[in-house]
Amino acid sequence: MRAISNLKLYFSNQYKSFKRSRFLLLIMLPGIIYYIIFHYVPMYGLIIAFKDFNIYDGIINSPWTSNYGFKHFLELFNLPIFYRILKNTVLLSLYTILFSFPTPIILALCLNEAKNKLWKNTVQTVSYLPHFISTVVICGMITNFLSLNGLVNNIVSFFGLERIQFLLYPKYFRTIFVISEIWQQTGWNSILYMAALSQVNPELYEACRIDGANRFQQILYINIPSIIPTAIILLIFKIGGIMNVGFEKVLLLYNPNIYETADVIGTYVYRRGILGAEFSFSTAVGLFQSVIGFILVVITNKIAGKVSEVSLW
Amino acid sequence: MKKKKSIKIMRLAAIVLVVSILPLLVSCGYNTDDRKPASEPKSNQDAVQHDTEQDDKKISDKVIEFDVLIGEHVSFPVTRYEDSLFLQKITEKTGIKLNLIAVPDAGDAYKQKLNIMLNSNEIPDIIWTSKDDALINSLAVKGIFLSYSDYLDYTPSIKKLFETIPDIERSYSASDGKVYIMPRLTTNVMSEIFMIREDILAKEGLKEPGTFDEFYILLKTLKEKYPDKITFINRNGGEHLVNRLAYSWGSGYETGTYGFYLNRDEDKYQYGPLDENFKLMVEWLKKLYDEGILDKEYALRTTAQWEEEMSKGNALFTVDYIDRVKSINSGYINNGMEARVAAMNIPKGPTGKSGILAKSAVMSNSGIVISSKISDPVAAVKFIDWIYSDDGRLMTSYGIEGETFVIDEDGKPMLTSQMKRQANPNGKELVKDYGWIYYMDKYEFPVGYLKDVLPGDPVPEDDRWMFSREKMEKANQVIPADPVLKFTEQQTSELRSKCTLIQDYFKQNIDKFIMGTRLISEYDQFVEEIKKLGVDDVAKVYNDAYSVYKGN
Amino acid sequence: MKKANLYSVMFDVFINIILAMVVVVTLYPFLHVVSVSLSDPYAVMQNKVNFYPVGFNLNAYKSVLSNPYIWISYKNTIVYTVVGTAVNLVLTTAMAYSLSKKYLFGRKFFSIFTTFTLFFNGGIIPNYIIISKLGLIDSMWALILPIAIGTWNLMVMRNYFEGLPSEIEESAAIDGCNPVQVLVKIVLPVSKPIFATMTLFYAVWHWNTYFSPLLYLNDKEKYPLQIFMQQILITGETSFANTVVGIEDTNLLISNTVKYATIMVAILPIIMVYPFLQKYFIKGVLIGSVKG
Repeated sequence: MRAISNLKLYFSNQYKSFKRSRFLLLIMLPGIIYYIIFHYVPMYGLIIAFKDFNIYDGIINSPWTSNYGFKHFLELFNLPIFYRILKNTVLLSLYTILFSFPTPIILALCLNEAKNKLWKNTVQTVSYLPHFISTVVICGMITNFLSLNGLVNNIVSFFGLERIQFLLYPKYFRTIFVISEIWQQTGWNSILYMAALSQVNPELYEACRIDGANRFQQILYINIPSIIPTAIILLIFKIGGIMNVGFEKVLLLYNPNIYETADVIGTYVYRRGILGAEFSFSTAVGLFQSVIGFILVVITNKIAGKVSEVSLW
Repeated sequence: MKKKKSIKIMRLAAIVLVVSILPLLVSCGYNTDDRKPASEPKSNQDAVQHDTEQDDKKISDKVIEFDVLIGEHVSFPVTRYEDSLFLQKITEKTGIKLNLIAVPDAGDAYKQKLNIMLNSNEIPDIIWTSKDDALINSLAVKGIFLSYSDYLDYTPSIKKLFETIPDIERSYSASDGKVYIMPRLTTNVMSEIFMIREDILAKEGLKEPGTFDEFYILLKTLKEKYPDKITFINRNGGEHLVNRLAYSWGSGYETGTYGFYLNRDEDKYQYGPLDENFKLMVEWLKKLYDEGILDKEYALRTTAQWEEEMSKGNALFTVDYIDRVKSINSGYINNGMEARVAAMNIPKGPTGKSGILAKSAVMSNSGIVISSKISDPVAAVKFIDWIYSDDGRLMTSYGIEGETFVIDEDGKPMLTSQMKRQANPNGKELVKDYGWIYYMDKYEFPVGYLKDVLPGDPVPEDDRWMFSREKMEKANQVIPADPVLKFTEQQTSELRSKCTLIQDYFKQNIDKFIMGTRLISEYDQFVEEIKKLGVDDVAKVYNDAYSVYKGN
Repeated sequence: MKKANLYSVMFDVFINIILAMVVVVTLYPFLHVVSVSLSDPYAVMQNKVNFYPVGFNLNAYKSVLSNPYIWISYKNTIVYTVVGTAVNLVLTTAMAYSLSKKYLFGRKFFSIFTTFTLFFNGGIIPNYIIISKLGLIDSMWALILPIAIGTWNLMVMRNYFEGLPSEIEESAAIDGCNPVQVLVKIVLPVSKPIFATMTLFYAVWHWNTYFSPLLYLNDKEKYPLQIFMQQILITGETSFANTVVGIEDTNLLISNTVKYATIMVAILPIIMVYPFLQKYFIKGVLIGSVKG
């Protein structure tokens, strides 16, 4: 009896909720259709990760692989260098997140304090320019900076140290990669935080000032809390993308001498020449990366929800 | 009221969804109806009609249109049919109108687009550049493409090429023995040369070395006299060095085959780095590196940095492409520098060999493929035949006869005086003024075949590029390339997985040995390590494919 | 009082030093690209160009701009960007606003439904087949519809809407507005910063799209600028295929001056968008509406 009435209540609540959100659902409809047609329908293509895809039979009719369809995954896991490329991928992403995640926040906070509007706009515009310069060109600049007679070595030798071919030693690669990411993306990534900061109600500053807070404290108590939701959402996505390191850039910067630290999953797949050739294997690799990424997002999202009440769902 | 409306919309959306999804799920892969085997030439009537041989090259009196997937280099933009005199002239001559689908030939762009089109069963009438011959052949045997072998009666030029260049059939036929890809044929196969600062040799009165020991002494002398310059510069890493030196050292290392090479004395494929002579070469390179003769940055030099040092006159010796002689020297000339580079004879190694492997004259991944669904197969093969005929060859190489070139009394083509050349820098240009298509050409004439210095033009200053070519040829140091082998799909996949590891491991270590971060005494151990990655298996694959090639 | 002033001045100095450093460091690549594009190719080859042009000339620009296709592709890119961004903004806003409401029916489901697609996609072949079956090949809509919503942007926007104080909407709801009316009349006016951001993100996305036009367009007259630019940039770079075959055709090499001039031509319009959007990043966009 009780169960039934509970159920009744549940459905009537659901119905109320549905009724209340009918306008919202209506305006969402084009979006939902979009997701179905352009995202969910093509997802049947993922099954080729479990098949020996050949063009002639197509996606549906290609034969399933051995090992219950997991042949390509086992091949990946059994690669002698699997551990190396996995470790490099994860570490490179982690370091990038660790160091390049805070910089746009700091930049946005600083920009927010700049008083001269023209100066502020100039800084912002200039700082996001590297984002638009093609990676090929940026990497060309980096290799030039790092060559024996390049800018970095000129600075190094100014301090009386020996010139080094930085790109020849595995130990420098991660640093180089992370710094270049910071250089290229900080300005661009700060834009979102600028938008979040403009959400702050100016009266809060007033109130804070009356309480005798100095400007640093204002940043601490007003600005930072106001951008935290944005930051958390971005962080969750970043962590979800941990398996997809910016592989084009690695490709342009690395060389065989530093495969030890620089070779990532993406570059291995590229080198093996299977992009556009062995669709099954490359789909399996991609699916592996996706699954890990999605699991990480679910976990971080849960943690974030507990700690900060910001959550993706 | 509103609710009703929203339900209606929902229903509509659902219908739209179902309708749009259904055919997608059903129609993947190749439709069985389309699987007609590469069809026999249609009917006698057709044949008669087409066979009215062929003083005028017209294939069809009515204009036939073909969609052609072709690469486009940004320096040679593809012009619209309406604006291209060249394409119109082809129609006028042959009756074929080409609708070009121009895809950027940059990085992997063309290959990716072609792959996706093949995978989605959206094949253009003609694929001008095959890109992945193995894939094309594996589809071809299932009837997706037309076989040239079935149409030889219609294609005298192709037939003749099959006879004169057996490699076309040996390297490009599919598993059923038929040819589906008409590859690009080049007569210009010279790749790299030993390039030295000729002016400095002359100034110091130094002689060209005969052996690698003498070569070392020469480089050492140069190093002492010009300590501030880079004696031996290199780009593209250590793999490039061993690739270009190994033949002369009595071994081999071909990058296209991941370091495996054809040992011509024993007539079998083997892995270069396992050879004793290969190790001697590494030791020699190490000596050069230790003494500062080999560029300290040789392993990382980018092309841009290499160009920088060469153009400043900062480097004395390099191994690089013959065509660079032209660009480097013209830079020197424009800047009033006295420096000049030219080829030197390649020293002899321990086995007495010397030379650098050429490109293959039959170029892989560059052939023409015809869809079996094409509207008029006979016209299509006849058109491709025309491309390889003397007439088509002249036109695709040099443009429109009478407009852009004429045949002179020696029977050789000569630029017309209105065309752009050294003596007439503002003349008309093939691409810009005639809409000539760069990648159309599939059968090149030899270098220098076209006369571009007309009677009355000033004689150009002596040409070190031509000089270098002739020097290499005279010394017989352009070694014929290893044959192009064909592999089954399974072999290809085995090569991909094993060879990537082998090549990676080699590249990771070769610079270490040369730079001394790994002791040369560990080389034998390295050989054992790399063997474990499956060198013998790979060698077997190559040798199996090689015996297929030889026709056993 | 004085002490506080001194503190404030020091604070300003500190902040501005940081900003000045940012400018110095980030201006270099741009300056370098501009200088190279205006220099003599030979000086560039000799690596003489850093902060200012050497052997100033406009030849590279002349050669880039004299190509008729750059103008056609310019026009195409602008059309694709404007139309595409408009579609993006409408669809994303509608969906983000709905998702931002806690009471939305099936909210959690829809959130996962959308986020899931960030990680899983069918790959290029099924996508191509869909586009082809929908008859979109060689059409502008093949570039716009498949990316009608960026999930990442959707989440960011939803997040922004969630951050809006609920009072402003509640007051409107009391006045009898339905949620759609609230969105248009109340929420949009106070969401200028996020609109500016989204416009920028989407516009840049469309502007930079390279792969889908490459796949889905066949007619050269429809190619956007990026195809042209990538063609110039990547050509002559050693590609995987070329290193294997061991070919370098010097006919096909392109000088850096031309490459960099193309970059400038291709990015100038899109980087000019931002300064215009900046005025919407105004502080206190919410005042007035909140007070009520």
